[in-house]
Amino acid sequence: MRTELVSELRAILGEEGVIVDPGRLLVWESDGLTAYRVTPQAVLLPRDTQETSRTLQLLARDKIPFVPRGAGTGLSGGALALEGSVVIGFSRMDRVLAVDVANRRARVQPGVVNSTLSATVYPHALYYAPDPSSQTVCTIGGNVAENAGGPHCLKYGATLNHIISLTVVLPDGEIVQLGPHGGEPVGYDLVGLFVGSEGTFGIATEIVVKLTPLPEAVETLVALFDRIDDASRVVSEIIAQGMLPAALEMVDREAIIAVEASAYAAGLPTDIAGMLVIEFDGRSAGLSADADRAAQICKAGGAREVRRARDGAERQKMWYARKKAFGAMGRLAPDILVQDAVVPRSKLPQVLERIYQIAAHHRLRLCNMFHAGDGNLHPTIVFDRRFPEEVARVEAASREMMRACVDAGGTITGEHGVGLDKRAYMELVFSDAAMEMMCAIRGVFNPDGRCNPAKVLPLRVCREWAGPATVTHDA
Amino acid sequence: MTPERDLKLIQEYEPADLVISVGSAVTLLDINAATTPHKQFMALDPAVPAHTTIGSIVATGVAGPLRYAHGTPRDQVLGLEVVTADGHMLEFGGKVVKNVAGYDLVRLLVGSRGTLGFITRVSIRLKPLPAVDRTIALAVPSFDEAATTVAEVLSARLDPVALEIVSWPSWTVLIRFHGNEEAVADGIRHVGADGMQLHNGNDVWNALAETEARAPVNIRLANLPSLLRETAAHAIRLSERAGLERPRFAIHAGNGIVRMLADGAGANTANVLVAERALIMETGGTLRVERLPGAQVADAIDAATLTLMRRIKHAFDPAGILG
Repeated sequence: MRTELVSELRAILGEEGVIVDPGRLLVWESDGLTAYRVTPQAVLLPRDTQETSRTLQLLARDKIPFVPRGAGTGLSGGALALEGSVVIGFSRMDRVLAVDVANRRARVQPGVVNSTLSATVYPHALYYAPDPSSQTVCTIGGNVAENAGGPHCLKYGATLNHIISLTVVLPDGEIVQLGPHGGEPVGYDLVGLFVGSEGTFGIATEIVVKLTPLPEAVETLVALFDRIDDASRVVSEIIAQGMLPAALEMVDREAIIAVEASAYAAGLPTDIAGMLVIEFDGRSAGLSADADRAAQICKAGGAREVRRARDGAERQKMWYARKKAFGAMGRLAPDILVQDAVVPRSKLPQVLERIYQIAAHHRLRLCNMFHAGDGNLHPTIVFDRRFPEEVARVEAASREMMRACVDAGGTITGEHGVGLDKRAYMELVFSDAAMEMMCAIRGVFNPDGRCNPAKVLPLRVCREWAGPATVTHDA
Repeated sequence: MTPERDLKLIQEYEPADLVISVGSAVTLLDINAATTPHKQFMALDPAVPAHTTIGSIVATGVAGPLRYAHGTPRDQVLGLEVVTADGHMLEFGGKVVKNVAGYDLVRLLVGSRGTLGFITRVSIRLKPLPAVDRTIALAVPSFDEAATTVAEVLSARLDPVALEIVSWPSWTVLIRFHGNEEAVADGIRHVGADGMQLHNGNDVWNALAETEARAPVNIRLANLPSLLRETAAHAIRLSERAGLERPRFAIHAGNGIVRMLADGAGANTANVLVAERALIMETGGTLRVERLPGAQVADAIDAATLTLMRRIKHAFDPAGILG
């Protein structure tokens, strides 16, 4: 980056707000898609909307692409600094600005950590409902960019359903307000459009979120199955019988084995084929009856055993077995590929079986831990990327699994986003004409393509895209 | 015409998925008729005539009292097919409840009122029919009492699925509970007010929707739920100043939305509304004219947002053929 530009940026952001030292920049070379590494040319850390706006104005003047980045836990390479991008980080924009208890909402900066937000409003018997498994690390800004999900989205909806309004800085530095203050939304749903736009439309510098009342009571069950087929059929049966739990998750044997060997061991047997974690929440009157019924459905569906959490500690242990399973994968092999496919619930048993077949055919080690209640699968392949032959098998298996899910009526990503990782799969679910329309809409916000370039849409689709910006570096 | 192209058909319904895909000419009534035998329903109860099509409901984004628990069409539509001004048939979203593939043009199209394209097909999420569906109707002496009752219900966290205040025949609070026997009985016990009437299912709500649908004048004031008393007071004063005939009020109490209904308006009503809207917007609220015979009052949108919306419209309809 030109020395003069660095000085101009330091004048706005302060010394600590501009990182250009190559050694330090390495920290930002990758996000949760660890197979890809690109060191950004600089990392900029604004403190508020105005600084973000002034920063983007300078970058626009010098035609420098940029990528907004939260905690870097994203699994689709959304925060990867491609095309010579500068990273805009929000570690200095991590405050909850206002909490409106009566109206159940809060205004936050993008760098607020998801679980910290819930902890902050907990004294008011409120919480922020969308709970991605990475919630102790990931940020609200990142959640907005990806339309993040999580186990409790089955009942409460994804991030999209919890964002009321946004202050957005567009790539040219212009500041716009999307969404209503107190009244009804008017005109096109720009908030709905912005949520899930994966940081390619601009930067949300203030976010008004919906808060949810803490449920009066929670009932958590774990059902252990000897056949994975039985577990996935029970999922359908619970829904078919008119129950919509707060969460309905599945974890298979491979994942359980990894968790039980780790610090988060929950005392689960490792000879079961898989388990369901089922949770109900709400007013305490009638909740036990729902949990009883679910337990009956599990037993009738072939469960070996059904355990019920007797207190908060037991509940937390049950959830660790699901939420920490991803982290426990690190014990099995150095690299991991998590897929994020969705299928209609009714197709779960057959698609799961197909996925196990595909993994076996390619001689790969596979775990499954996922949001069974909404058909959102996370087949997870563990491997070692130092062996190209193994990588080739992983990629082939991944493609086949994706195809199987789309063929079953599903889609290519339920919550992790397209990013870099799934650009090539977009054509499985969208026509060229549909993707061209998306390109045109992106062009409304990001006309010169500098805002998180080379993400979401296949490059061949956006024919008008001018190409990478010219960037000069100091020697 | 092939079955997939017939807008009047239910295209796909797999109860185990809690999703239904229909041509856009299928009506609300038809959808619920198909789903009720499977103990499911579409959680949308807008105040529209029963034969209104789902395409129209999605295009206008209208919702009714169930929005308190279940949201609006924006929260329920999973995917749609749209025909654009130049004849392209585009599909966005899908049939699954978790979907972040590509940009969310479904949200853009819901509520776009036909300005971006003609919706031909919709996939929409369903909910299980509750075992018990009971509504409390509580007559109160004044709006103030109604607002107090609502505040108590909210702070007691009774989890109703709908919470309305209506002004006819006299001020009444309506509280709707869904759930199993125990949960609903508990909610009713907590409200426990003398003289409350209990109703089952849709009765009370159908009557409310019908009255609202038939009112020639329909104006909506909205602001934060905590400002409900102020918003309602403003609406009542406004109804007098604007010369509305036989004004009545229906209020989504948990959402802070006041609907002013009337049989007729005065010659100067539109001007009065536009002036009032400016005042309401200063307090962060909105005023929208749904129906006003003889006058069209367009929505007020700030310049920067309007520019973005115009560019979006241009992307879909460069020749400006659609409204």
